Amino acid sequence: MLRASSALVGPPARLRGILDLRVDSGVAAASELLAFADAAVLADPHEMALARARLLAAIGEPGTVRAAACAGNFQMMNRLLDAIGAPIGAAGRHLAAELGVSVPEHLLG
Amino acid sequence: MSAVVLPADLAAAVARVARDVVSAGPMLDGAERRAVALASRAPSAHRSGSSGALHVAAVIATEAHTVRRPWIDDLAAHGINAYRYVEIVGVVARMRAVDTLCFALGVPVAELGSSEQGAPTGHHDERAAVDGGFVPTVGRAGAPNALSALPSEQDAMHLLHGTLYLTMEQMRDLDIRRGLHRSQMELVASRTSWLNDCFY
Repeated sequence: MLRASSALVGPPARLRGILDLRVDSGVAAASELLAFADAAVLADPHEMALARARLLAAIGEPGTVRAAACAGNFQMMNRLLDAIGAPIGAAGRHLAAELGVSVPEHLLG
Repeated sequence: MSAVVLPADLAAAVARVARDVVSAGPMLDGAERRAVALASRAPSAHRSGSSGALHVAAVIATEAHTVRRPWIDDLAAHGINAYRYVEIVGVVARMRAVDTLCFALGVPVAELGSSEQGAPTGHHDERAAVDGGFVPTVGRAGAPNALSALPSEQDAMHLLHGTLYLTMEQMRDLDIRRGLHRSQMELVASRTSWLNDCFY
């Protein structure tokens, strides 16, 4: 969905940029969004304050609020899906291969 | 570096979760749900040397990606059948969602009130069966029906999902803007999943 949605506003995102911060995904304000997500998920209060200030300066309050809400939502969904062992479909396996990551055997369904 | 004011819809969502997790659910009473919710906030106290619901809460809060079917099966010996497990997962997951939201915006997490009296409702979906995943679901296990064995948990998840991110209907719109463009939302979602060692 990242690649498809980004293609509606510019070049398709480079998905490697999700994993590797040296790669520019091409998404607007990607650097600030990634730093914000990192601080939120890793629960680092100092980094969180810095990342929030950077993101606020880059995209303003509505965007910062939505970024926090998205991170929260996927904290929920990641736990749900891992905890119930939902199998990874063909599209997910293809994407994993493209990114060079291995899907755990128990999720291959 | 000041905190951000939580918009009304998100503040209401946080308050709703805080109320919900101290009330009786389908399989756990209010006191049990409250204890699970608090364990999700202090998982290190329950990671080792304990078993049962609080241990499960700690595992789901901190390393859900390590969960395997045999571990869930073994929980039955500690009084946690598949339905109780699903409810614990739902409570922990929603707590993690709203606590992350608050932390990220620099606002205090919701205080949990006293647990409410009342017995669990016992309500579950008779159609649920193991279909591709570790636990019973109505249909093949996936994101939309992850908690479908317990309709009240399923509904609570969808309500929160729609408030924080997008409703199922909105998810069809790849050009939607909701504070962020969809591509920016997906970037945050993808990075969050990557950090959680989650492949979905």
